[in-house]
Amino acid sequence: MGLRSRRAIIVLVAVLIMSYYGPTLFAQDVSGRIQIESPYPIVQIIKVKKKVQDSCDEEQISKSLLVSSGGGVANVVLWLEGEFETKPFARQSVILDQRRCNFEPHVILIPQGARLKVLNSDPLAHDVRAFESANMLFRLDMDTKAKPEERNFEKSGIYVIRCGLHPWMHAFAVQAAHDFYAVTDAEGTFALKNIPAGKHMLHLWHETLGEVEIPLEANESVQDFSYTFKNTTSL
Amino acid sequence: MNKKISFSLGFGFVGLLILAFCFSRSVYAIGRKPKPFQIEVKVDFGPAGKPSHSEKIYVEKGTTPKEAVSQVFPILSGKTCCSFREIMEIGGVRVDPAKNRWWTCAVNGSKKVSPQKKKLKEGDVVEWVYVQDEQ
Repeated sequence: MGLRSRRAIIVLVAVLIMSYYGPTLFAQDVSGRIQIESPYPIVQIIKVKKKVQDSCDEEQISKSLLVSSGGGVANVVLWLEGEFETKPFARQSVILDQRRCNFEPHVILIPQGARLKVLNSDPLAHDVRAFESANMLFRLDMDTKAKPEERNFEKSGIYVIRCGLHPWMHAFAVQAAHDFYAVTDAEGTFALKNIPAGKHMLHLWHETLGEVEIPLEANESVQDFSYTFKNTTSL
Repeated sequence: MNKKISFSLGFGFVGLLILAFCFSRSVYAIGRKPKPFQIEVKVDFGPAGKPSHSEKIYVEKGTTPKEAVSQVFPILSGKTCCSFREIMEIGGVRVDPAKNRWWTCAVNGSKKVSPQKKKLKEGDVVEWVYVQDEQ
């Protein structure tokens, strides 16, 4: 075998290896923090009707906009726009519980192929309803000893979950289209792992602050990504 | 025997009278439509920011609050809770589960009515209010 042929084989093997492992080799992690401009909104308190105070507390903290002392915004959903190769479907359930008349967690990510499992850990009944925009998709009548109920969302998107009996109770179920989704924690921090290298459009969504799109160049890992929402609330 | 005959004749005569009365009533009913009556429809768009609207309209017997408001604004039906016949949108303002905004209906101040079933009466005041609950 001549030198040229050897080189050609080496190049071919390298190309094959790169095409197979390339996306992983050049995958980047992006982490950072989402915040809101000061003055930070104050926590909103909701008075609870007396007849359910034993199980639901006298007051509820509104989950519509939770801001840390440093301005970090919780429950912001981040995802990359576009279609990506995904891992085999996760045959799992993610749990949305009802405790002290709150949905926990407030924003729940459902990986592709996974199902939403709804529990009721409260000593009172709840009436769980899921909406896509204004349309109700399903309703779960969950008594105190109700068995967990599993449902799935057919397409990716952000769905509203409400209780028909307790008007403050709401949550958002985010059906992921691929693996590159994240939700900010109480301090507003997040991490997106193994993003394919290159240019992307990053979407940020919050139930009160709205949605923004930010160009993201992921040619190397980023640890200090930051975005500040304008404070449009009148709180 | 005579008594029997006269009793039968009398009974038959009364029967004929009843039949004639019923027939005349039904002919009368077929020939005449029920008279439309006046009600008031109020629509409060609340947090949607559109100006409130109040209008006195004439409706037919059997009209429901949902049908009444559809004479004033275009409406859209859909399942927001329990039935596909529920009001989803009035005058372009749609329920918004994410913001906890809903349409409520009251007749003469009472919310304990079914907007799809309640039959309105003359002088009724139908109020549709777009509300936003705390969340």
